[in-house]
Amino acid sequence: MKEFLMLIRENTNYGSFTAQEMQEDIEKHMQWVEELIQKGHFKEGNPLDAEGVCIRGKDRMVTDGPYVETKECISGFYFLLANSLEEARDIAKGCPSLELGAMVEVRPIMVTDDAFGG
Amino acid sequence: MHSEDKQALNRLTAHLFRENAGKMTAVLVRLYGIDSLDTITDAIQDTFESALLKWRYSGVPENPSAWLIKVARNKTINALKRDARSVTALTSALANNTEPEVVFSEYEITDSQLRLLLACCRLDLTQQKKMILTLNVLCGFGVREIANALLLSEEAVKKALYRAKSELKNKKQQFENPEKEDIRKYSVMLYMSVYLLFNEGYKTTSDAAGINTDLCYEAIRLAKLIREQDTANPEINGLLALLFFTIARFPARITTTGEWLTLAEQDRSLWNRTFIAEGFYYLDQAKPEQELNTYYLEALIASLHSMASSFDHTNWQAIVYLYEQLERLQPEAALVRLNRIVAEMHISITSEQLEAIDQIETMFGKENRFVWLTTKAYAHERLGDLIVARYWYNEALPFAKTAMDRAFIAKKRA
Repeated sequence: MKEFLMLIRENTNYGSFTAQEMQEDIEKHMQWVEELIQKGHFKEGNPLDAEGVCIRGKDRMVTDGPYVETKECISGFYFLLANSLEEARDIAKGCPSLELGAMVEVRPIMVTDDAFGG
Repeated sequence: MHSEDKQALNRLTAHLFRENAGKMTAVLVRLYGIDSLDTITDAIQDTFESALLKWRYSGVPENPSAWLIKVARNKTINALKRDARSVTALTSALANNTEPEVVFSEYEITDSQLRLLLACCRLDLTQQKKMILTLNVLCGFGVREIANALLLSEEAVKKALYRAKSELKNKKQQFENPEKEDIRKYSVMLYMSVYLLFNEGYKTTSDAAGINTDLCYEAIRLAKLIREQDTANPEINGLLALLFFTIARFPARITTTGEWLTLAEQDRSLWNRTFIAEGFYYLDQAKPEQELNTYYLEALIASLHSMASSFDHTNWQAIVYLYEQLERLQPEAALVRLNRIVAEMHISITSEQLEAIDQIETMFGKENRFVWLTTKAYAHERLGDLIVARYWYNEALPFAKTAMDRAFIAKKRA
């Protein structure tokens, strides 16, 4: 099994959601993760706090960000286990955040040890 | 979170967020004042968003309700501190902020909800506006959900909510310092609001669902809340018994294709026995010591239906007697009279009952005319006069309010 990083980018402003809808969304995610665990595809996952800073270049320029209100903001990440990028892609297609307009990015994690013949 | 942490996932109970929205609003409004209602509402919404973001990954904490209220309280305090305009709210917020880990007792939560419910019931607004406000602040329903449940436009619900909330703030005295006797004194209003909420759920037809069970469950939850304050009170026990007997019949009331079934047509094996048992549990505690009340009588009638093995084996004599007692308490209630006449028809049908139906025609306005007309048609049907019956069913059609009503008529005309 190879390891993949899945990033969820979404607008985390749920202002128009009702209490019931938010509960249902949580339940969908929990069910999804539970399924991933059962099938051995889940390694790790965590949300990211909206607060943060960006530091740029050799001047170490510090700015606030990322901006939560934009769809480009990463709200959380998962480490998935799959045999191929295709399989990881199909797993990621099941992410319930997509229903709400999120964008999900899946990237294979390079195994650097390989360079040393591991 | 790692995969190995994930073994036993906590589940959320149904409608936990909705229910907690009401509880948190009530508790926080009591702590920080009605003036802070909007700040509190925003803080609660924010809290749910935090929960959404975290619980998606880490699962539900051991005590989700406690987690929610703790976070909502902190967010409220922070927002009040930020908001320089609400100076008075700020002082009370800080005054109450001495314990960082305050735990709210069940009693406190119940009591706060009752106070808020009472304050909503006492407002000088239409019954519908009060219901909209109650659904929003105490039942955690969003604008869209209220609009769907009450068959209104979202715009209308927003307007009504705005109006009702400002009225609530105007009358904050009624919430913040109610007289000690209030709950008892205004209990009639509380019972009525629950009863009306349940009826609304019973009669509104969104889609083919026919019965808006969410409203009915909310009504039962509020009724239980009221009962906690005074468990021996016969009236609230009677009301709860009535609600349980009624909700027990829901599964049999609608066909899979979405048609109403009358009591005579229902498959009684579909009635929910657990709810019926619960109905009897409350009925046992509902026997009035002095005066009779309408909820008790209605619950008794409903219990007789629950016990009957079939429509024909129903104790109609007893039901007629109970309706007569109801008529004494509510001489103006047209539907009670009509129901008494219908019950009499099931003992033996004569033309006298037709006359009796005609005599009360003027008691029915346009709003209720559908019921009067279909009952008149039904009387003819029972008398075997099917052509006349069909005529009156036809007459009822323009007064049908819902798709279910129309389907009912269509079936009768077939």
